Amino acid sequence: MNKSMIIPDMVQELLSTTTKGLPKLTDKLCTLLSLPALITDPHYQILASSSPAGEPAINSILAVQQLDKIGGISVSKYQITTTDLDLSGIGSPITHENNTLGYVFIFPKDDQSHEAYAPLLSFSASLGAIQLHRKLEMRQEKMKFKEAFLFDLLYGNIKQKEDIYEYARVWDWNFNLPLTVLVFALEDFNHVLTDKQLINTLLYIIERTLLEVSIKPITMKRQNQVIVVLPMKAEQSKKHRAKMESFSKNIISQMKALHPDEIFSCGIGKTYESPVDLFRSYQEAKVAFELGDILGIEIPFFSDLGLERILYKHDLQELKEFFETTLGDVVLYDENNNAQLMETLEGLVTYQFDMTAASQALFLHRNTLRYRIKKIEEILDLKLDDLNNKLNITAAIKMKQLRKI
Amino acid sequence: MFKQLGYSFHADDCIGCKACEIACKNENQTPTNIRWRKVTKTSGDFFLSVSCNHCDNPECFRVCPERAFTKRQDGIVEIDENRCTGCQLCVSACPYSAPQFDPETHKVSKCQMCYPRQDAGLPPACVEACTTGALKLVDLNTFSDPEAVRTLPGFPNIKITSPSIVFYPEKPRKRYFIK
Amino acid sequence: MFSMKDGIYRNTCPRNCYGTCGILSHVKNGRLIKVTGDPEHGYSKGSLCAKGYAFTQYVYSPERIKYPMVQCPRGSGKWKRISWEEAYTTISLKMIELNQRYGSNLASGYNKFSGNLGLLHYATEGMFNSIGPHTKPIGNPCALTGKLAMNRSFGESFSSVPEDMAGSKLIVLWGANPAVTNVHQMKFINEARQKGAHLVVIDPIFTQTAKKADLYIQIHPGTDRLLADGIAKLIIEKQEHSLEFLEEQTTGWPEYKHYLENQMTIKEVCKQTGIELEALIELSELYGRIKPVSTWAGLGVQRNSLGSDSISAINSLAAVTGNLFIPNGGLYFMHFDVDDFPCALKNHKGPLHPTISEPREVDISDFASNALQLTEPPLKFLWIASRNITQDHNLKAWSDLFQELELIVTVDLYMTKTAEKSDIVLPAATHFEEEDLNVGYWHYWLSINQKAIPPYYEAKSDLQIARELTTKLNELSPGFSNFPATKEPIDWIKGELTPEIMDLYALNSYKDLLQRPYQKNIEKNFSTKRKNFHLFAANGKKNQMRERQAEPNGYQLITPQALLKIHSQYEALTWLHGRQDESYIELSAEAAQRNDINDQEKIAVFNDQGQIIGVAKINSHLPKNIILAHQAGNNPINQLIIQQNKKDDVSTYFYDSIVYIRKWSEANV
Ligand code: SF4
Ligand code: SF4
Ligand code: SF4
Repeated sequence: MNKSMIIPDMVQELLSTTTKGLPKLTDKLCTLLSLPALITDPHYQILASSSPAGEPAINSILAVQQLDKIGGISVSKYQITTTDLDLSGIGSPITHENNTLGYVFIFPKDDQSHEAYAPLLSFSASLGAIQLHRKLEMRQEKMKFKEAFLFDLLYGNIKQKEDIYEYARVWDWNFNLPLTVLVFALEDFNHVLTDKQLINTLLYIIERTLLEVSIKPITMKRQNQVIVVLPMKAEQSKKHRAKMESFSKNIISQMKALHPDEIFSCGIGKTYESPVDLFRSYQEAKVAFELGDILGIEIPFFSDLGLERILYKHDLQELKEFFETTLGDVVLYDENNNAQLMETLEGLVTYQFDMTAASQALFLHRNTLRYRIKKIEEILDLKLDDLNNKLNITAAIKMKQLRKI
Repeated sequence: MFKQLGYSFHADDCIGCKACEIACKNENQTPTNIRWRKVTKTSGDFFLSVSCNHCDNPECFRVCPERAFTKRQDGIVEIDENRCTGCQLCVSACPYSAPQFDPETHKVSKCQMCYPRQDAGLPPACVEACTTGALKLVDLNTFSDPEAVRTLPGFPNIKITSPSIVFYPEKPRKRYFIK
Repeated sequence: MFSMKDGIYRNTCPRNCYGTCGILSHVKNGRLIKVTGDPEHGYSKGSLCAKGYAFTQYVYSPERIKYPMVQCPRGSGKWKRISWEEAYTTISLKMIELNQRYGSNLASGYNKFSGNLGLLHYATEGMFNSIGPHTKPIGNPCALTGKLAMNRSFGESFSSVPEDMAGSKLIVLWGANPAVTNVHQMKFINEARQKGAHLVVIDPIFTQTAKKADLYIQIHPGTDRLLADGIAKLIIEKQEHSLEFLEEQTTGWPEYKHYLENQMTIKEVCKQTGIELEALIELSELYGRIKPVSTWAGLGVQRNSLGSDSISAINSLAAVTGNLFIPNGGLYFMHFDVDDFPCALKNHKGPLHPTISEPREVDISDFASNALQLTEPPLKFLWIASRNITQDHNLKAWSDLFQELELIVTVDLYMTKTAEKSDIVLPAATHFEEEDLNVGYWHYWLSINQKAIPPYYEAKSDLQIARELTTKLNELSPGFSNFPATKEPIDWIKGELTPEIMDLYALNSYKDLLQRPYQKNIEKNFSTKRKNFHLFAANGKKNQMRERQAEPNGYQLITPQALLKIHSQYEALTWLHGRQDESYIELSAEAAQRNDINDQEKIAVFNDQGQIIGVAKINSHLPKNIILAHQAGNNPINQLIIQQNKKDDVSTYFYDSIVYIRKWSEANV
């Protein structure tokens, strides 16, 4: 074979796939070279994979390790681990205007010279770039449309149920199920690039996590937030709340693992039967988010925050008076005796007056806690086992936390 | 495509002349006791000029049983008076006293950020009226200025609703009083 | 030109205000639906003030007078609607009868001022001129002192171009409070500040503008002359003065210098003005080192008996630093360019009287007392236009005068306190209902005022009234008036736009003004080469200020303008005034303590002229010897103002009255 002729022929053949999608490109690479070929997204999720007849298909990737570069171009050697085996191959990033859109890999036999494939691989990468870029554009196009719909949905701008169903069908979303809105957000968000990227990662993780449990993601980015619309399957209604809680915890802990310095929080709205009410769920989720933030609740549900919301909005002067009459003496005692009785009370309220839980959380011996409670009872001249007193104290403590009295 | 239109307010430049407040009445011909924009003096001895803040999380909107509110894609929070039944839940939900109840029509109305003017390429009437340049229109989706702050003393709590307004505080000054 | 189709018309705010703003009036179905600022107007630049934006309410206020009405007996409140015809006849018959009784029209007179400054509003003057010698007011109660002081310094009126202030590096306001009285100027001041300029405010009162100043200096009222001289002295000591300018372009430099160097001390300045040395030095350094500096001698400075000297001294200070005639520097006061115009109505020549050659003049600053002195003939018929005399002081004299008058006619928009005391009221038109031509007295723009809407009910413009009343007079007594009653408003406007005026404003025809306002060609006036500025040396003047403080428990009463009122013109507008009463009387913490008065308590302010009641507001920044009360309101504060040492060349010294305060109680009412 005349070597100088091979490439133009192959180029011709590969070019013919440009408009036909990524699988055609890997198929062509695979048949031309008789080698397995693979295209992934920037996160190494497989987009297309072809293997010569008789060889096992590569369907999932566990880890990718970049090894030496080959020559001066972007092609490198890679070590790729799948569920069954370790593969060594060569790969090239697929880039467009400095953005990495994905990777293309081939896996030469051990005895073949890796270098010889480099030019062809980088050519394939450029072809891949054309396709991936077009795909990205289409996706963005569709996203814009989708965002406009979600925006209108979340701000109650579509008043007719039927219109909503109609739109939802475009993305194959089932809005006949009861829906809940969850909001995840980065605190202290600034309009800087790095923060914007954090939100992209948050979105990616949320979508991936949803897909893992086979839920079609209905999500939207909005400044510092990612908004998730979660349908509830009928058979789940009992466990729904627990599911949302663990899902949210999961997302937040994943984000924490990736970015330990940043604070991500969430808020969860109420569940509504009709999508025209979804805007309420969205607003509720944001209110829950804000209150959760003030009160230090990890996964705040709007429906749990009734008293808090009332207290938060109530006339400050009146609240102050109530707080003064209820707990003023304890505060005074703390000040004069350098004591921490208020802290003790706050702990008790947080653990709903459960002595064991509170003493653990406060790092106090049960007896010490008991002594302190007695002291408080003395100062206030009341009994803490009376439900009414508990209620007043709980309310006063919440006022303090919410309104910084 | 999406915007979050809002106001920027320079406490340092505002002289409390109320041109903005009255220009709003002139533009919208609201009845005497309906004030979509209000200029008030704070206890810190500077002025605030406040209307509806077209909040990111509009509470008015969450509590309205008639779904009378909408938020446009440019961020403007509108109220559809035809849907309003005058229950006034929004009036008590809004921290900024923006929705105004008219006992005569038994309806609530509020600043619509002069969207008919904006759609025609004009600034809101209040912004146009502000000779000192204290009141301006900004798009908070793209706005960024390290000197701007989210609130000033005397402005109601911004938590929860996240109002679309940014502020510039007063600068320190030198004063000699007769002793 | 003055058709009344739907659309946008050009109007000009004619009120006695620095702005003289250009208005675009939006008219639909013959109704004014809204107003916006005229973006073509180079001073107001497309915005109005709060009062301007309330014009739709002003025009359609249900409180406007709708028809001519007669009240019988006077003051009873029993008003009866009459036709214009009846009104004209009653008035004409009285005028003719008085003429027959006394052999001249001197028993007929008018009092008119400043409600509307349009050139066609001289119709009232024109109307009276047209009947030969009569009784007329003279003088300008607000700005005369300053005007004369300016003439002394510059040889003529002088006031720099307001827009140029935006390019100044230092702006010094003496007794001026533009944040309240001239909001548009704040735009140019803010623009300068954004470019790094310094704003200095010198005022006895910690005004809204003072709060915005980078440097505020509080001063004892009436001592501005000393401060200006003190700063000039410090600047000359440090050799920071503009020697070349002083030698070439001024007169009186040696005397002035000699005076500063030998006849006054900085110690004296500090003592009299109440200003500490540190502030004095700081201000002199700013004045001495920064250029260009804009200096604004506000009307507040001249409203006391030492005002004239203060203005002269401030002018001289601006000269010392060489800032007078340089670009973006200059001296601001106000100008009187309206005098460039023919003012044909004002200067209309009436028929000659065989024995009386001149009209009889009454000083407007104390019109009532002076009018009471008139004999042979006494004043019997008074026509009051554009004026609410509750603005005036000496209300006692006014009520005495009203006793003497046989007929009082008031032309106004609303039932003012003055109108309530008249025999006949005539409904006046607003500027939206009439044609006019307007010149500023602060900025240099000339603008037209179109008739935008039909008159409210039976309202008529002053010019229309003049035309119709004089026609009636001639009908009943041929030849009584020589008023050119057939001349239309547009003819009068064209008459004002003489070739010289058109040249001055670069106009080709009145029609140009329908497109936009025009600015006067001001370069000629403000040449940097000007000569003969006269420096003022206060030789031998003692500082009377302290002596007047001899009154043991007295306070000096100061009555500045409130934001939303120009005198009493806007009181009827609910948009501008909520239900809360704004008639606070401000006093210092010390005065409150001395008189055992608490904040928000009712107090009485009194002197031998009368007493007013108000709510006390403690103002911790008020000097201890000053009481502050806002002009107008139901309890006219001006009744406490009495002018003492009267001279002819002075504005009313609104700021000079001494008052006392006490807790109010039913017992001593
Ligand atoms: S300011 Fe009040 S009325 Fe306006 S959007 Fe916010 S909550 Fe609603
Ligand atoms: S934006 Fe328009 S409606 Fe809103 S306060 Fe300003 S002038 Fe009034
Ligand atoms: S118009 Fe501007 S300066 Fe005047 S009160 Fe409003 S915001 Fe302040």
